[in-house]
Amino acid sequence: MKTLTKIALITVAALSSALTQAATTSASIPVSLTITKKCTISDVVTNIVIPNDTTSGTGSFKVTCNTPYSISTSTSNTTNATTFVKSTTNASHTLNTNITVDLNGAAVPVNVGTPLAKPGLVVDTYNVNAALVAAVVATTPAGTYNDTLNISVDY
Amino acid sequence: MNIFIKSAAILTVLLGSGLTQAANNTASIPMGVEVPKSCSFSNVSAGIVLPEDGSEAQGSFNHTCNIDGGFNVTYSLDSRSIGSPKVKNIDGISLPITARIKSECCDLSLDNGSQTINFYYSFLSRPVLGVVTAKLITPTTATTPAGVYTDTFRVNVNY
Repeated sequence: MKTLTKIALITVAALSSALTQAATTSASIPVSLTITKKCTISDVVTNIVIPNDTTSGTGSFKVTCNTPYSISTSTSNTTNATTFVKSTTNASHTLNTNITVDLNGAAVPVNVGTPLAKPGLVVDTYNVNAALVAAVVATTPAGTYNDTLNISVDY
Repeated sequence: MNIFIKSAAILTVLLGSGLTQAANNTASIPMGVEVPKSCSFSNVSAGIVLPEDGSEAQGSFNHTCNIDGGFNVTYSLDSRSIGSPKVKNIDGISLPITARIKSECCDLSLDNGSQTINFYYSFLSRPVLGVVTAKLITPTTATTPAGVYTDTFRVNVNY
């Protein structure tokens, strides 16, 4: 009889414990935002007029990236280091040019050279200078001479 | 002698009665089952993906308990433990967010810390819907660093 009573008491105690014990059930939901890499080229000067002497015509453009990037440029008339403008009426008529692109003095390659690496995350304003290597002289064929500077941003 | 015979006869009758009377022994074994309190979650959103433009995103879940009431639910954002709510990338760059939880009675902001709702009665085995909404306080810009920014919304049912 003593044994029976003891067992009964233990059972009651165990049940009581189960009923009063606090418990917690948990769940979680991840919150995320993915910002893709982006670069934009903006405020590109519409045209650079190169003076007939050896002074520079200037222009600029802006690059805005949310990630590190590298930039290089090329010209439409040639892939070589020696650049030139070309007559629109006679392709054999060319005038050599000196084209520079820089960001606060850091040079961006034109046609040849290692692309300039930048960290991004700010608006970078690049300057473009284009000048004739030799001034136009009296015997320079009249006409309109063109070239195009192409900008490439890799990120 | 007569007396002796009479007693013997009575004894015989009593013994005869004892041999033929039905007997009955009984015992009982109590049986029962104790159903413990329990709560569970279902239909928990896999994730809340915040749009870059600052518009709102939402996730949801259900919790169900086998008790009528007397439990509470606490909602929180991990990032809130250090300053205001935010999503953070692997480089530690953070973008502030704002978040709310809607469930039953309440529509509560999670911006100032965790929130708790007490569920008093009428919730026995009833799925209770919770909807959490979140958004960037300001849209990202062209110079907001690219990457994956994260935080975690947590919900605990205490019973």
